[in-house]
Amino acid sequence: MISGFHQFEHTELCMGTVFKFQGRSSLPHGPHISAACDVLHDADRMFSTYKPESPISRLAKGETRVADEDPLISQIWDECLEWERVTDGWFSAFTPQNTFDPSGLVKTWAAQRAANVLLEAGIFDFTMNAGGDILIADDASGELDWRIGVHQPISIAEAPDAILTVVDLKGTEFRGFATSGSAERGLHIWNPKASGKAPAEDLLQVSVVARDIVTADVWATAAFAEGPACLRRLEKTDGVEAIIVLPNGEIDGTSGFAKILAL
Amino acid sequence: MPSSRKFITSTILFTALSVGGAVLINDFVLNPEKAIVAGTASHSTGSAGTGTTTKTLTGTSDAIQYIYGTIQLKVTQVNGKITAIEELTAQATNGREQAFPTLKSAAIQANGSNFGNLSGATYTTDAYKKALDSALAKLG
Repeated sequence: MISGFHQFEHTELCMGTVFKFQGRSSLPHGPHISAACDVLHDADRMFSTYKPESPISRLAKGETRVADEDPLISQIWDECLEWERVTDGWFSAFTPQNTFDPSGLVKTWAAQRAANVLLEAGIFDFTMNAGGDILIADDASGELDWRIGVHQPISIAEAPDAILTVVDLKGTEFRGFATSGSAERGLHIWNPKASGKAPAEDLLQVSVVARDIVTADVWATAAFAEGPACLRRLEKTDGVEAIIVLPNGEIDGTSGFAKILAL
Repeated sequence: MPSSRKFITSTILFTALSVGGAVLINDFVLNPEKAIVAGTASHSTGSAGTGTTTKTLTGTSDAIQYIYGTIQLKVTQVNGKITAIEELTAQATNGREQAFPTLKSAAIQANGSNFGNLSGATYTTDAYKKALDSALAKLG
């Protein structure tokens, strides 16, 4: 190893899932990774719908108002509304019970903020895996940093090696990759346009690649809610490509997705 | 060399079945009792004009039954790389026409390559630990 050059790999359990940082830095990375993880845990404390004392839980129970809470709550509320507009209503942070639940945005929103902590500290060569959604920093130099395996729509607990396909984002504009599906958490995405906002079940899985991880994540959630017709919408959306798995196991995708397959 | 032949056969079978798995996605894995694990393989070695040796392997899986129909695949490997996958029989009871056959075949060929990160539906910490345990057990 070259003196002063540190390879790092850090796994952090947060938000009920796993965040992984992998990269290289000539700076001492430890304190910055810690600071990045603090960003994740702060977001979890603020936005978790599983913690009864979180501002989001208290909002849902009518115990507090957005105006009385941290400005970040108001910020994410606005961002959710903006994404709802951009996706023509297919991404929605309002539950079937009409409470505010930004869970569809918070994980990758927090991941991006955590990555920003590293970038601001001068660490530019890394990737992040936010529970199955991927962020690649511009200067990622690892041999495999730009190659992402897409899991089949089966839980990793059942079949850790089941790979649907592999993409290579090197030399592209894409830095974010996200997958939505029912394999791990069941039917957890509601269809905002269905009667009673019933769970979406017309697809097994959607993977979306975009310029950043948040855009990829939001579109993956929106596409999963919309079902197979999402491909027509994504085909017309700039900077986004997708691959979907239908309930019968067939694969389909946007015409540009074939260009990023690792061959 | 019977031992070498056996290795090639099992490699091809593994390839054919993992390709089948990619085509059938979850059905094959979720319904293992319906899958028939058998197949045939052959190989040939030829010499190109430049003096380099080309090794071509072809393997044919048995018809694999799954809940939506039947599939049988023929896989051709040249010098260790999959160059063609043919569906000898493929039926899906409620499938629709493939709008992007190129994407599908290309996606299958990408299968098995190396990668640095895995993308999937947001896994629980519990599922992650199980996957990790399983990977470690295979190393042992």
